[in-house]
Amino acid sequence: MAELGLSGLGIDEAYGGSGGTARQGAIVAEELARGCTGTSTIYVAHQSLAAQFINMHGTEEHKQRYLPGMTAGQTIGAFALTEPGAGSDAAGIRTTAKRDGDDYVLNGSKVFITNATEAGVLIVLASLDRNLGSRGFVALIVDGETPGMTINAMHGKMGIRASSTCEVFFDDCRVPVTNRMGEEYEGFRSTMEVLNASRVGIAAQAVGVAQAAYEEAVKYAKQREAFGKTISEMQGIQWMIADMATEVEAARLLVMQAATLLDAGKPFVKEASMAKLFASRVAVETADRALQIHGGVGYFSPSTVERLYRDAKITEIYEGTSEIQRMIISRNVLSE
Amino acid sequence: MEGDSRIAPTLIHEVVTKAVMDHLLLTDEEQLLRTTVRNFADDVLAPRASAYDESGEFPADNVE
Ligand SMILES: Cc1cc2nc3c(=O)[nH]c(=O)nc-3n(C[C@H](O)[C@H](O)[C@H](O)COP(=O)(O)OP(=O)(O)OC[C@H]3O[C@@H](n4cnc5c(N)ncnc54)[C@H](O)[C@@H]3O)c2cc1C
Repeated sequence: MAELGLSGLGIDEAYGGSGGTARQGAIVAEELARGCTGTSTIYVAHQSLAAQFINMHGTEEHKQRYLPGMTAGQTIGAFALTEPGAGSDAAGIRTTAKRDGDDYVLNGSKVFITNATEAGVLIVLASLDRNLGSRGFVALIVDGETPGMTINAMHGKMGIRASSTCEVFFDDCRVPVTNRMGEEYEGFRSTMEVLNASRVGIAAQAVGVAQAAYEEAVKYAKQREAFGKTISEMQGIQWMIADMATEVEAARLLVMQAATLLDAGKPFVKEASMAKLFASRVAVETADRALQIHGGVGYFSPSTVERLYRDAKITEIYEGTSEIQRMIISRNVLSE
Repeated sequence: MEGDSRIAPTLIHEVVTKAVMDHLLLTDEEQLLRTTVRNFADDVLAPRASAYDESGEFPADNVE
């Protein structure tokens, strides 16, 4: 991916990036997911969350120090927001950052962090004052080998297994104040800005999963025979294929609409949530239908549809569950 | 008047055909990017996807 220049997409050229638009980012996330969903998860966490956070909110010095290695694919990035007690309700994080001289001292723990075991750099969101909720956030860059930080890979994941998902513990972990992105107490806003944009990438990933499942279904339906003809000649199968084709296309259009609005500097948050909500549903349903079309062989690994069926589900959970997307959409609709 | 009614459907037809052919009205640059990444996914990612799913190892060769 780095060789193709994909890790530099959306990152300024001054720091080794290749520039580019949200539409291009969506195209890349979709196509990567179509080949290997886990790899596209690594890509989105590294590129759209970690590198983009530094690109959008880091200082000149942060960008020069971290981005060239990240765009070259030598330094992997992770983004650590979620905690055991705070997922959808991100404002409830309990990891604290206490100022001590020229350092912040981190204590607490993160969970479900993609790429953390491989990461050379982690973007960590912590609270300066838990009583302030979302208004108490600080965003820090933490180097992978920082003393006081321990990382454990979590096991037993249903899908996207090529990507690691980790627990991260902080025990008096000292991070220089110079590693702070943005001002104190402003980390939540920066985080939401990054998440809003990367939501388009996750929606695109969902389209890629759906597209892959749909292609597998069409291929199999044309070759599998039953009752003296291929199953693609049965109307029941044809209708499933028609629905899959239509829904995948509709999901892709929603994603491209959100990306186009983002590129144009127009409001895109509602559209990005619509794209993520719809595309993730389509991924799950298309993978389900594709497996159904495969019959028994689809239920066994290593069939591609079996893997896609497991991979698809995560798109309804991370980067804001479907319930959270509905919350964002309705909030926007009702305040219009 | 007559001219208008003749031009309009032609234009619409052209736009629609182009949309279907180019897929989502992608620019040439976007279309090239899609093809490049699609080939990479077909040739490099997809053949290894099942093995990485099984092992759960970090796909360093995909990331490079
Ligand atoms: C494989 C994987 C990778 C991940 N990678 C990362 C990462 O790199 N970085 C990171 O920071 N996080 C990551 N996450 C965390 C992910 O973003 C959270 O799991 C997700 O936001 C949901 O939080 P939760 O698991 O705590 O669920 P909860 O917030 O506990 O939600 C449980 C259920 O309640 C519902 N719910 C919650 N609030 C409401 C409401 N107001 N109205 C209606 N329903 C509601 C939810 O939709 C869900 O169905 C990852 C998770 C997974 C599984």
